[in-house]
Amino acid sequence: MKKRVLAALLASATILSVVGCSNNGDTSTSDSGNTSTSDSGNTSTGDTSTGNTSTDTSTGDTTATLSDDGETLTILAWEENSDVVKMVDFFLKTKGYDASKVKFVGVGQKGENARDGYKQYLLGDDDADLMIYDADWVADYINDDSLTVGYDAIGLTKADFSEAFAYTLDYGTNDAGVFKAASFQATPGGFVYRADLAEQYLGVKSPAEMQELVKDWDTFQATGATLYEKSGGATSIQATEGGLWQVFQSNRTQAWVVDGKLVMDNAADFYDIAKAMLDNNSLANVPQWDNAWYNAIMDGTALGDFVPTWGLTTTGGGSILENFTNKDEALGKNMAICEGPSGWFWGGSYFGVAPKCDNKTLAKEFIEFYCKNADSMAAYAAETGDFMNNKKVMSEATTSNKYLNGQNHYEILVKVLDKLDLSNKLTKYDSVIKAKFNNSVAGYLDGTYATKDDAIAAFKGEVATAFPEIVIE
Amino acid sequence: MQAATGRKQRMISYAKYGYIFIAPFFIIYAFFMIYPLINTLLLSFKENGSEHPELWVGLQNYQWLLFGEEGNFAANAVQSKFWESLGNTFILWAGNFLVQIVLSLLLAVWFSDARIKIKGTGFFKVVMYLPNIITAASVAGMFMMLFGNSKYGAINSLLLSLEAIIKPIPFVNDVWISRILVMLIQSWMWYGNTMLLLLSGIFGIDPSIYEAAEIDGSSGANTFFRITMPILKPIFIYVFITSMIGGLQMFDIPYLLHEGTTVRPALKTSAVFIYENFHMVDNYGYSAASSMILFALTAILGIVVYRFNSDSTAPKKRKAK
Repeated sequence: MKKRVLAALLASATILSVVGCSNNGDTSTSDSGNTSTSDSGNTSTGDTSTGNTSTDTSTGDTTATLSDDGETLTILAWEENSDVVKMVDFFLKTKGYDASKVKFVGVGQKGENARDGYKQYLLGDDDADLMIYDADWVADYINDDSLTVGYDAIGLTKADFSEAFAYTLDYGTNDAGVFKAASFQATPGGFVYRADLAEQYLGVKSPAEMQELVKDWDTFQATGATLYEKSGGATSIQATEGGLWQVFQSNRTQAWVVDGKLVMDNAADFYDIAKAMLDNNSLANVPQWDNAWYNAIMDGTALGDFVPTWGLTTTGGGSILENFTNKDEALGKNMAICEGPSGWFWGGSYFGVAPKCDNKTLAKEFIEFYCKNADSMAAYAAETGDFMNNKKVMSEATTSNKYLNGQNHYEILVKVLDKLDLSNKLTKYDSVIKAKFNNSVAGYLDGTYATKDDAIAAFKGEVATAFPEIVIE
Repeated sequence: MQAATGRKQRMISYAKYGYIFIAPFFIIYAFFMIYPLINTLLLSFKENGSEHPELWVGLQNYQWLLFGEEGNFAANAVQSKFWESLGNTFILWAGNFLVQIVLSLLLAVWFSDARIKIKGTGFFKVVMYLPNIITAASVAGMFMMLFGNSKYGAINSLLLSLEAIIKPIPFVNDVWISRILVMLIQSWMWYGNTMLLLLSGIFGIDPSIYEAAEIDGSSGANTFFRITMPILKPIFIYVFITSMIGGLQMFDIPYLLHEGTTVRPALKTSAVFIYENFHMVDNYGYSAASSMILFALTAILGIVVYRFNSDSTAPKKRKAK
């Protein structure tokens, strides 16, 4: 008899657990307003398609649902994002709020994990108000109304960010023209070079004089040739092809994809520029993110490379500049920065609002604190040395970079952003296409592809494989 | 009567417990193996990309991957990429298997040879098995430090300082050097494992056969080819098939052995192709279809190799019984 009772208990437990599971499944799917089921990756992409087709109409609907009765502002970020920790702390401290008022949730280790992780997280029942996106995949999220709502839902418009650098506003606007993400930082970069070698071989005494020698691509190449000759074959002007490409790609006149077609624009010229620079030894062609890169700068194999704001930090996190100087201020005395041939930026992170945000007011307050209000942004910049997304703040701010011989790099970088115009040049395909293009150029330089045409054909094949829907001619 | 029913009841309940105890395995197996397998099959019939991932396209993914399509740029591009990846996989596996089998067979024969009597075989076996314990990521990292392309790589820097070369050799960027590197790394990682399998096979051979051969004056080579190899054949086939299955799924070393941000084109194996389509871009259709093709290919090759070889061994076994 006891055994029968036990068996009955076990059986009912089994049935209950099954029922419980299916219940959970039901609620989570209805929460997200998603009808497709099964596998997780599947579901999230299912969302994407619905979002894309109904961009215009559904934004208005979701606006109405945002409430203000949540207790804690929850910000989703990835574990390695060191910004969010500092930001939450600084916000609480400045405003005098209790620590329970704002918290961040780590979703995934790196930015790439967060890209899929947020979608999973949003399907669950846990609280989520704001999310941080990497520049590489911000377009994925803002073009999907099941994952984000527009800034109008928390009472902000693009006009509120009039002091922001223009390119960040273009980045935060989706294909349908809805403004959905603002950035607290801007990420321009400059040409960081060995000032001692520049003086020795080129007779350059200041960053302004150096800028004259790298002011456009032709001059940059000519200077490279001179440098190699004067140094007796010891020093190339540029370390990596990747760095060169980061800058060159900002010169495009059109988007990568226009009306569903791949547009090469002036990208094809880059094969010739990079090859010519390699052939006349203006390019050391060391790999990025490798000890060879840092060594090349330290031992003078390369004069310099292009480094963005986040690579110029001196807080000990192992930034590019710290690696160039081996965290040695004495070596830092030999370094300097100038604008380089064109305006450009590299990376960055953006704030988006989750559809289930229940702290409308606090979310607005947080975003205004970091993306709009000059005072708080200036205070944060002074505290951390970040390059804030505010023209007024950054033109007034000063810094003294200990690994750049005390140079104020803000002054240089503001000028770089003045030359940058990305309006109508952004698509959601960009991050993948840029990576494929860079691979193809690298392959052309290292001999994987014999001719430029082979390399371009390989690039187009890669794009066609990645995005079968793009028309390629 | 009562006693009999009691016994009967007990037997039934034992069976129940049996099912309960084996249930976790089947539940986990269904959840982590069967469901993903079926889902992969379903995905392979659906459209690529993030635009319409739920749209059924029938066999289009298979058609594009295997045959391409006249005048369709995207289809032909993915076809050439897919076949290239299959070719890479085959080249890398074949090279690795050749080196590995020769080395481990030689060592296994030496270690088992009663006449040579190598001292400390236990020590050697452990040392030779060790590379297999290191994670592939560490192995790749170590070889990247040794074989860096630039003058800062250990081997390049050594050769340059010895003035054996004028310019650094692009070990990882060169198509064939990089392939040979991968083959050698794979062999180095797996020869210890293969050697132990072969060794166990050799030890299974009746020593009296060897004694008889020795008395009849058989040479070492003769003994190996006429006695060891034929008897070792089943183990040999087992090693061949498992190595082939592993080789077709080769991923970690080719995927990690590169400088910069991307996998070398010459090292893009089928598994890398699947991973890149699944993870870098949302082409679940391509990756699912190529997984299924790889699955079919593995099954077919496995059956062919098994049939081809068991014909000659099977009758012998029956006779022995």
